[in-house]
Amino acid sequence: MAIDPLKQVWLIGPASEAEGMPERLARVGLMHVADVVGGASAPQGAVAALSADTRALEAQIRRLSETLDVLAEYARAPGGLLSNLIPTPIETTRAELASALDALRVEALHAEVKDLAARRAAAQAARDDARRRFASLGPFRGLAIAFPAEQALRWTSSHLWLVAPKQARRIIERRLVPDGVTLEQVAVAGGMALVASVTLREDASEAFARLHELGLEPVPAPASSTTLDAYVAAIEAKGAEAEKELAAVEARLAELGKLRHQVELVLGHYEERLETARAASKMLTTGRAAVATGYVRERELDAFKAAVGRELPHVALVVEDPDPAAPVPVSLTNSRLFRPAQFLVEMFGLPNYRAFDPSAYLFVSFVVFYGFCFGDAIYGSVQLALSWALLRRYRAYPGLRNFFLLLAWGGVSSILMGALTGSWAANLWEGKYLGEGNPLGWLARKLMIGDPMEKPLVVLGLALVMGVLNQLWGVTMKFHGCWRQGDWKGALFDAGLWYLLLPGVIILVAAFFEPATPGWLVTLGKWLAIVGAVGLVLTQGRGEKSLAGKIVVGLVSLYGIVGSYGVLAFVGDTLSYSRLLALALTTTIVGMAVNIIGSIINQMLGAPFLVGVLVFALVAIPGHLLNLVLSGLGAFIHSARLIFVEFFGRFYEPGAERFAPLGASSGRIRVVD
Amino acid sequence: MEEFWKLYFTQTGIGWAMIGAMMAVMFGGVGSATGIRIAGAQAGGALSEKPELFGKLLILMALPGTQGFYSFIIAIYTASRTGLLAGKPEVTPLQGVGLLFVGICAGIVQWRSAVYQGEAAAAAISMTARRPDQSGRSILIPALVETYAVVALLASILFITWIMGIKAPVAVQ
Repeated sequence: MAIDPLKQVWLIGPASEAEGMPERLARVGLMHVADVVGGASAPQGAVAALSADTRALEAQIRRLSETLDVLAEYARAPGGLLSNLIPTPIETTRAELASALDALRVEALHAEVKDLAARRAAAQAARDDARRRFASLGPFRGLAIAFPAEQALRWTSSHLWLVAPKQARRIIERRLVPDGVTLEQVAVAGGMALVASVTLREDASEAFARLHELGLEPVPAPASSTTLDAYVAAIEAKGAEAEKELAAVEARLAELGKLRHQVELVLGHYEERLETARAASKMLTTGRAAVATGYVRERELDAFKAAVGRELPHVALVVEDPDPAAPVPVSLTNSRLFRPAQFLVEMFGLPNYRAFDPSAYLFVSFVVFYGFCFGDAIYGSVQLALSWALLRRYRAYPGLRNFFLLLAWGGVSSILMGALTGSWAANLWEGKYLGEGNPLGWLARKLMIGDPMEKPLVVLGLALVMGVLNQLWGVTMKFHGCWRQGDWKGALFDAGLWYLLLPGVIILVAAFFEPATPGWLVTLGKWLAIVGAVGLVLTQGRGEKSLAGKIVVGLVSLYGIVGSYGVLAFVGDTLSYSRLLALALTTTIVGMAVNIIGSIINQMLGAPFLVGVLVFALVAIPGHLLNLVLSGLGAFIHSARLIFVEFFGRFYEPGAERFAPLGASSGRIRVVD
Repeated sequence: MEEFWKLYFTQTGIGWAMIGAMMAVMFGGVGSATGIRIAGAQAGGALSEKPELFGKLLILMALPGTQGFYSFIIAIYTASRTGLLAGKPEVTPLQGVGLLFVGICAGIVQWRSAVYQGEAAAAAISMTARRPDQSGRSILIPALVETYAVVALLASILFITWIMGIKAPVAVQ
């Protein structure tokens, strides 16, 4: 359980090797390539970054991504719902990839798909326009009135308008039309009135604006004079034409959608090549020599040396310990037991290379918190079974494997907690649901030690005790982290002194709520708190130069604004664990509600025994499944939050770069042979 | 109706206490839901660009949910100290009104702090979307807002304890 020890490697070879070096290192797949100049300054003079023109690759990736975006609408990703929820790389073979690269004409396909997408957009717009216009003018079909084109009349201008009949009447009766405009209602149909306006051509634009202001919607004039009936028929024909065009385009896109798999494979291949090409910009060349640097896991060093000897025979390899000031990437390897917790650490952010991996130290806390929140024996069993099945399916993917293993452990913890608190699909075991003397009821009563619904304050107290213990565990981690880095002052002053103050505060708070606390214990608490507080005031400002600064910082650190911790942070973080009670009760109460609803519906129907059982199952199973998903999600999020905020907040600083060997993973495809 | 009023609000104070407890739950619940909506909307935007950040953003989205739990704890503690939980409520009208004020005041702090925490979480989500390596630090920004929700929870627990510790009604001159 640790951060993998790494070695920094330098590869120095003749300039003739420079061009092929990134691709060969990608084939080796063991080295995390780092910047030779460390990103400090751009190389000058004869020394230059190994140039790699990535523009062609980027253009190809853009084409493939655009093509995939369109084709994805017509061809769903294989694998069904689960694969959509948990995306994993597409598994392929070298032969299949080579065949896809050979068969796919990327530029031609992109051009065709782009053209089809544009035609589809135009056809959709034309269809929608025709539908909209037909919806308003369709009811007037059959009217053989003249509908002149815009410029058809020499001295006058004529328009057709649509308006609500009431508004048309109001405008005409109250003579709201501007002078020089003749307005006449032609027909009323489909809840709209069709009105015609005539005005002198020179007044046309002003009259048009005024009529529009009055709420009249103009019917666009035809290109050549026609009748209204023919005009509506033309709209209908345009709509049908657009539909036909759309159907043809979509049929072709659906046909091209069959290429989705090939497109994804080729895209994954180009993304890998781009990554390799970008790695080249981290290497240097002097004209005579090429230099690359990076990191290799110590345990893989021999394999790396052998692979470099094979792939780059003219390149010299220098191995050294990583520079203490360099931002070294981090790779975690944990034992089988603690590996699931690695998922949480990777989710939050990796630790500094010189710090320590907290996976093992948070594993038990997380699993206990999860069980506390989710605590139900039947829900836990279902979760365990599901996690186990998914674990087997996604065994090849370390991230998913760790996640499902963590959920499986959460399931075990929930089973235990559910058994201890008598929660089996909430209170399903009670006689009113499964009948008196049912075996589940016998088991539940046998294993139960207490019901949180009956004694919530006891459970709240338990949750807070767990909070205190986890806080002190966090302080211990701080001590551990400082000590292993040789910072004994940090270990003793920033962590050790809290071990005096915090227990003192806990005793005093307990004495406040429980007056029967023995006097000697209160005195002990008082002295622990005083010694711890004075020690912190005297030491937390040790970085300040002036005496006043030291004292002020020391005092403020007690509160928790500066320094590693604070009394308020301790109280707040401890109270935050009260969510464990709330979540535990929520799971049980929702489950009880599901059972009650099932029972009520059953009673209402008054069905015979077997039908009744079926009805109850039909209501209860979906209800409990919903509760299982929602409560499981809540339990995961809030258990993780207690780790990330309340526990990690004491000692942990994430932010290290992930150790990512060049060529080892692409994210989109995975070559399995 | 008169009997109801007498039973819950003048002869005993259990009605006031129950309203106070539920006010705390109501304010806290509304605040948490609003805060999560604010953070969730921001996360939705970030995830449409970078779906791989789902794991990191999930916790940030859930942070404003805490106030709902704190309010729940206030309600449970009120129910417990008044004897409601055991089915034997013992609370004077004066104590009941005191608990009502505690519930309302604590609820308002939970409500507003959840909304502010949602806004801070949205800022932290933006930061994480731009600098995923800083997700650990960004989580501390909204967590700081929660301090005052904790203070309100703590004050509520203390005041409920003190109010229920009053042995006899204060004499009115």
